[in-house]
Amino acid sequence: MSTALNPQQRVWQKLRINPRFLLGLTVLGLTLFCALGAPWLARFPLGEAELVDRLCAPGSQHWLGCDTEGQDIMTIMLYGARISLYVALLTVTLSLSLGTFLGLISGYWRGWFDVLLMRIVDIFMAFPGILLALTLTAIIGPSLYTVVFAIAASGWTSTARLVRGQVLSVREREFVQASRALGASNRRLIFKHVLPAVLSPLVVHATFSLSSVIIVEAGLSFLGFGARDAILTWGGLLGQASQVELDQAPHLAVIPGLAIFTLVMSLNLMGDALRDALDPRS
Amino acid sequence: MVVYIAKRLASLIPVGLGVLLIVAFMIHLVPGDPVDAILGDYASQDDKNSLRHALGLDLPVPQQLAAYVQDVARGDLGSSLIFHKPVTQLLLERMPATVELAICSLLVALAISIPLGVISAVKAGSSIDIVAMTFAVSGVAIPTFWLGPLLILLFSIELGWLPVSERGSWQSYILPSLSMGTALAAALSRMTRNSMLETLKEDFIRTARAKGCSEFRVIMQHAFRNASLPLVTVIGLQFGVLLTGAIITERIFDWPGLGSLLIEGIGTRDYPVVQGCVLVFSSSYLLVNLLTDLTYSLVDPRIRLSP
Amino acid sequence: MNFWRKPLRGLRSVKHILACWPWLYVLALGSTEFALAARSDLRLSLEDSIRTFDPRQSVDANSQYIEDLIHCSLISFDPQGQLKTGITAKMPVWVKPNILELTLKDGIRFNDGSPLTAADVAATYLAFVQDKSFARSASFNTLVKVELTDSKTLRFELKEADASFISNLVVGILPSKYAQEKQLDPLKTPSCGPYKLKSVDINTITLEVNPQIPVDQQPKLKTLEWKIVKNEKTRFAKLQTGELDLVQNSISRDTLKTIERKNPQLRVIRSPALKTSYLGFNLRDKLVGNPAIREAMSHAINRQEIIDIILGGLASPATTLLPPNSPFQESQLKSRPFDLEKAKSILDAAGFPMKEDARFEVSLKTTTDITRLSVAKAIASQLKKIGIKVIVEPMEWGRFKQDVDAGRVQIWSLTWVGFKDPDIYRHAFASESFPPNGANRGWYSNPKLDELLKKGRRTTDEKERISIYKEAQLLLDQDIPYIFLWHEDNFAVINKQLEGFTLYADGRYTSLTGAHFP
Repeated sequence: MSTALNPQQRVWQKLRINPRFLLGLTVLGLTLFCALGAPWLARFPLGEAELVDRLCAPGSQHWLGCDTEGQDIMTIMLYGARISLYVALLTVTLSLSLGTFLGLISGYWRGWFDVLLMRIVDIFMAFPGILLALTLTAIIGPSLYTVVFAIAASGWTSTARLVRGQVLSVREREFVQASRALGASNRRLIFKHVLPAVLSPLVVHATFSLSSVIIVEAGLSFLGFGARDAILTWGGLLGQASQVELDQAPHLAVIPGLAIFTLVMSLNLMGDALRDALDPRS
Repeated sequence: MVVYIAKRLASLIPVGLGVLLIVAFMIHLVPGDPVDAILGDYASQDDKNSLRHALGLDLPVPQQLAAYVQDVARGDLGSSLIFHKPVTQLLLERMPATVELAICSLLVALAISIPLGVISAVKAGSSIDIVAMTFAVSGVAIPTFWLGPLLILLFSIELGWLPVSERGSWQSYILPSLSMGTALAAALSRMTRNSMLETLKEDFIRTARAKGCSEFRVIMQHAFRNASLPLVTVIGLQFGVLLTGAIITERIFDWPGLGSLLIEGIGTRDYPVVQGCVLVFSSSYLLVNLLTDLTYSLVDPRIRLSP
Repeated sequence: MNFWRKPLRGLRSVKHILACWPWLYVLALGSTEFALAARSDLRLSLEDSIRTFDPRQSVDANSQYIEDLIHCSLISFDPQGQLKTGITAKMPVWVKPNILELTLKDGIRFNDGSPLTAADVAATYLAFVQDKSFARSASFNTLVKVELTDSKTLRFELKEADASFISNLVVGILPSKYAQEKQLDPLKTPSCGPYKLKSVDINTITLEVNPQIPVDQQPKLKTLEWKIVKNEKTRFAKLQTGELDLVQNSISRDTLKTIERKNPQLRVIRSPALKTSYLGFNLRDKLVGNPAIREAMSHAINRQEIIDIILGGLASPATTLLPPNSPFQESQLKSRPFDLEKAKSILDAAGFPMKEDARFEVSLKTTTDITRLSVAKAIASQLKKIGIKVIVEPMEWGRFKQDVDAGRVQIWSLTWVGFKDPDIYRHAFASESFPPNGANRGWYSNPKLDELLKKGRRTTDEKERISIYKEAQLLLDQDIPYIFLWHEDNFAVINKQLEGFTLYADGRYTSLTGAHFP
């Protein structure tokens, strides 16, 4: 039966019945729904704050309570989902495309470029990523794009290493060698053979990267170097909560904390499931 | 072996230099002036200028960097602009705290993850496995700075068992290493499990069983020894993460380590201190990686050392 | 069995129990008193590292707080922040407009037993004249020389008359031998304060009583253990568990309302401070350079609401830079009343009509500190009500300061801290103080005010000075280069048992010398 299916179908077949994947997908879907539906789901307009509501507890008016400026936390969380996902996706896209591009070139052509790139990767890996974020924040100012840029700037290295390793092993395989002997162009080789082989570990890597970006972004906010735009990310809200005593407004820390926890956990579950499904050996 | 180590060490130099140049360049790009931090708000422009001159801060940045690199080559990391102390002394004061914390967290992580990973691999699919892997997935998802205060709230304020923070008695190491080790423990136990599962499928395990080895011996001596190979790499990589991850944990628990020194240095634009901290962070990362590769060859003699 | 029944029988009625209980109480109290000697150590926290123990280098508040306890100085400050004598026998006298004469008290000794002489004082201050690289040298730019007239009397000669000079004479005195050295080992440098440095660790600084002080005059707290605790939550947790006895200011104001109820062992005290928060305006900006806009804003900011909600009531509305505890404050000034209609009509009259959603947009730069940021956002939402859209831009401190100094700013929010002399007005508002020479960051210029401030600096007569600065404050109130927001209070959370600790307006811990546990 299964021989009749093409590889994508086979993977999907496996994922469809994997409870971890389904759970992860549901949470991700819910987050996306909140993010896209924010203007309709929110009970208060964004940016509306009444100082007297500062740190108000959850109740009938404000279902999830209020933050330090008296804004409705549910509103911030809904709009924050947008920003959090946006930051995570943008960062991962950036670091993934840069890392893949450089890793492909360096693994495929080897030579001096490979040596140079690997040294640069070493430098970036040895460089404390947080410092990069801190200095960039001081130079550019605490905005979303600083955070994106800072995380991506240290995140591309692991992708580059991964892709390079994959390319190195793929290009030695018989079918690649054979098409090269048949006179296939480099471009054809890369796009037809090398890239598809790299794709599945890359998908898994991307899923885990998404989750780690969310955690790292929250960590930066905690240190006071996160984005301070009009709309806070979930991490930003948690960072704000870390400056308020827990017993004063437990909801301030608990709500974004739980949200991040759930989202990151489901992304990890999805990553696991994807890894199992894409593993050619299983 | 010696040649190999020498070669590897030599290859660290350009990387170290690269890191040094990037950090020095970046920190000079940051707006703000260390002289403001030193002299306070009421200093006149003349005073600022003369101090800037005395500290060599009025020179062009490339010239400052060249001078700095020369000093470093001679083993002189300069003097802190704020603390009026040699940077080497500051680093040596703070280093033990960070290294201790990193090692303790690593130990905590190993103590949790290895039994958990091994048991859940052996009993794959059982309820123990499910519980263990739920922990593994959730441990990664908890931000350290969220877990840390919760641990303090529970163990120090509510139960009163452990001190809130402050590096001192052995008890004071428990909470920071727990909160820093949790994420690592989670990651490592997954690694251990996967690696064990694969090894358990191998032929030599079947052979060992057939030979009549006890199950415990099969698992620990044959399977785990082989499964620990990928673990060593991950631990090596993670140790670097631990060192920098210490920045957040040190902030929560007021741990007087390099991370807090780095943050302070950035705040006051204390260039020599920031550069010194980064130098320590990156060189320890590089050295631990080298060490990992060497350990690798010890665990598995089949691996040849080639640069 | 019987053994237990007998005494119980006697106490059967509630009346008896009630009658006995005060005695039990006294007994219990007496026995604890008997069993435990009064504590003589105190654990306090600082929120930042001590940068230096060298009095010639200390410019940050924390270093100065410690300096105040381990060193003695010519002048010191009373709890209100007013000058008082330190090791001088009486207040210094201006014998000429630019020459100040001081006489030392008898019998002052360093903690190694050697006497403190006028030569030591001269050497300490001459270090600033000879070496400009000391962080504190900047405060002694006008100092030309220090002369000894006899073993107890000195004369400070200045380039020009400067009445504010006296408030700089708070530097800890070093023995002359040490004053000539560039680097000092803090543990080996003799000092003359009530405490001496016992040990310095990365996170803990321990002070012990100066052994040279006669036992009956020694502070009752024999050791002070200062912990550097940078995380606010950790400080709070340590107070709750009793690991700290005293934390000043660096505790979330939100917790103060409930802290005493939840932790019966703690007590909150508060007292006016030398801290004035304000909104500064770049007067070269087309928009906020318009006085009508500043006046309208001044009417539209509800100071009391912000004080009550964000600052936990720990501040009082301000009308001028100097706080009420300063004799130089012009108390006649009335703050512009909170009046949204008036604010709107001022803007209408000045030609800023309401458009779709706002009259105009301005930027307000502030630091990333949570309280400052909350205040800025609260101001933004208050100004929104009169149609001014305020974009709050939080920035890292170093960059913030650079932007403000360079004039890359419209409105900024900051707090003046710890100023002792009204000469602060020259630093903040005189034309000679445009950045980078001073802190006139709004580029405010008023020749009449410049003249007054120059005169105020030259005048050594206290009464005349007061009237000069009062006039200056009235001028500033008309021009509104700043909107003064509030004077913040100092507050502390302390161990309830601790007696005799009072807050100083500038945040120093001088009163610890008289504090004790019962």
